[in-house]
Amino acid sequence: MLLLVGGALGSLCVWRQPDSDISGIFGSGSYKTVFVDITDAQGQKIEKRLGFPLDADETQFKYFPVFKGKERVGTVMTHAGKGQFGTIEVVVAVVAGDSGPVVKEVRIQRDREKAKAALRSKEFLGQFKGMSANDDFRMTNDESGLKPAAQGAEKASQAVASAVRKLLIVYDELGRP
Amino acid sequence: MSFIRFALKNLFAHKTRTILTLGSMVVAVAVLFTLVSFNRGYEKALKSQLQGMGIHMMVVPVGCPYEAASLILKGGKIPNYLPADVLDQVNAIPGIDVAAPTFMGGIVRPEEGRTDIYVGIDSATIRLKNWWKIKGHFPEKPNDVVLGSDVALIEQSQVGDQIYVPEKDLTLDVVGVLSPTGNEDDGMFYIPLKTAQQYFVDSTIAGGGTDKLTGISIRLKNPDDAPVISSQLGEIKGAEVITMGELLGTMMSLMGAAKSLLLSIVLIIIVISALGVLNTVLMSVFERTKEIGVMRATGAAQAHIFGLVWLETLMLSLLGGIGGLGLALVGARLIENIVKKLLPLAPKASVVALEPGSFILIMVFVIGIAVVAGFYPALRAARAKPIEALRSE
Repeated sequence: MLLLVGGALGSLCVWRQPDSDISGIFGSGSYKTVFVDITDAQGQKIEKRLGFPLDADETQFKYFPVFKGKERVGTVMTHAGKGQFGTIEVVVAVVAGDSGPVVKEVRIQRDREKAKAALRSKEFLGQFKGMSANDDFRMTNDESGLKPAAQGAEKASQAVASAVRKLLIVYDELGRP
Repeated sequence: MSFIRFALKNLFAHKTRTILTLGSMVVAVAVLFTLVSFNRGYEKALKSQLQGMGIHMMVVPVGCPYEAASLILKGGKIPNYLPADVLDQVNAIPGIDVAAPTFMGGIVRPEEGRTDIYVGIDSATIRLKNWWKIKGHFPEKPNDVVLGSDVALIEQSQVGDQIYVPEKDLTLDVVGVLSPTGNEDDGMFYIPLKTAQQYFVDSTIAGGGTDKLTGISIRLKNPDDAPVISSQLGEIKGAEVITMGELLGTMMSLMGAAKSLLLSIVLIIIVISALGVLNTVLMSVFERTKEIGVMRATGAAQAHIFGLVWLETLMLSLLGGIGGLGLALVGARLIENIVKKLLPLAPKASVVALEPGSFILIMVFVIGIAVVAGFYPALRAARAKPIEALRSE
């Protein structure tokens, strides 16, 4: 899990239920906690791909490689982003794909949205499965993009999508550690 | 000066032994200094926090007020509410500057390890807490909310945003954010009193109803009138009065037992360290019996020998004391962070007061130990007869 640390955003977002997330996503396994400093050059590349600046205090990321025995089976990252009615905390699990890391599963670990159930539904979160950093994460109401969790939940849905995209891009730019 | 150098040379003739003795002294003094500083700092911070609230006393429902606060934090049901007419009765008492009614409700978020506390207030609270700085404005409409600074940070919310309370199906408009206050105000959601009463009153609780209160915070025109007004308030049916002095006393007594235990342990450590110092110096005296004999035979008076050995003890203790204080200064903040996480009711301000007074007190204590621990070895050395000492191996 890549966790923004060093500032408010990072300190707010912890991985709240690692054991149940690992068993739910990977079946079983253990994890480590790894910190990575973001260099100025990496920060600039990340910002260019994101299209918006990182927060001033986002100078370090945290992620959690997941292992089954000695074999690394994936990576978990977390993110706390602004939703429509407060903070939404997202857990993103990625695995190695043919051309880079792809999403294995996305979970919401905390939110206070009105569309709580829809936001946590398989229909909504399942859309992210297999997506990579270069995919289009825009919410649309047609077949061209991702569908919002529910009508009226566009902002919260986009917040989740943006969080997933941001984590994938950071993970990619940091060399998929 | 040469006497001091001589004493130091004697001490460090056996480096390992001296350093180990010093180490135990350093740790003991560091723990003692931290504990003394914590004791002073905690009380000071608590007083400052209570005074910072701008409240002289509180009127709460009859029962255990501390239990009620704890129940709200845990999301439990408080035993009862304040009857609606209590506010009028409070306001009728002369000498009260502001009486601010509040209704407090908590929503436990176990998955996040915290409780959201919603505090219903009216304009009296603004008069009571006239030092509050709000970015935005005070709640006016039923769905307005002012966020404490910590809440705004956690929810990444600012003026113009909305906050949803799923458990109550309540959407709130953020109309203000408090500037950091350094106390528990930073962690609250402030909503209009009537909204809090409408959404958070438990109708199954005795005295329930949408006009009830969980407390009235009071500021007096003259704090010296507190005893008189407190007794007048105490006559109101269904209400109980807590003065801030009582609250402070209760909180400090909660800490008292733990502090006594800790202090006892530290004193035992100090005694063990003092015995270590005594042992080190005594061993040194035994090993130097012949040397002391030579000194006596060549004209050194008993007082000189006594002074030299006592000086060694004093220097050993002083070095340990200074080292311990240095360690405490470096480690105090770390210890404070740990203590704050473990301690209930910990004030937000620093709870470790590193004061010169504590510093002097500890050093006097250390010198006292040196005087006591060094007396016997010094006396033993001074009483050595030169002939017998010279004969010894």
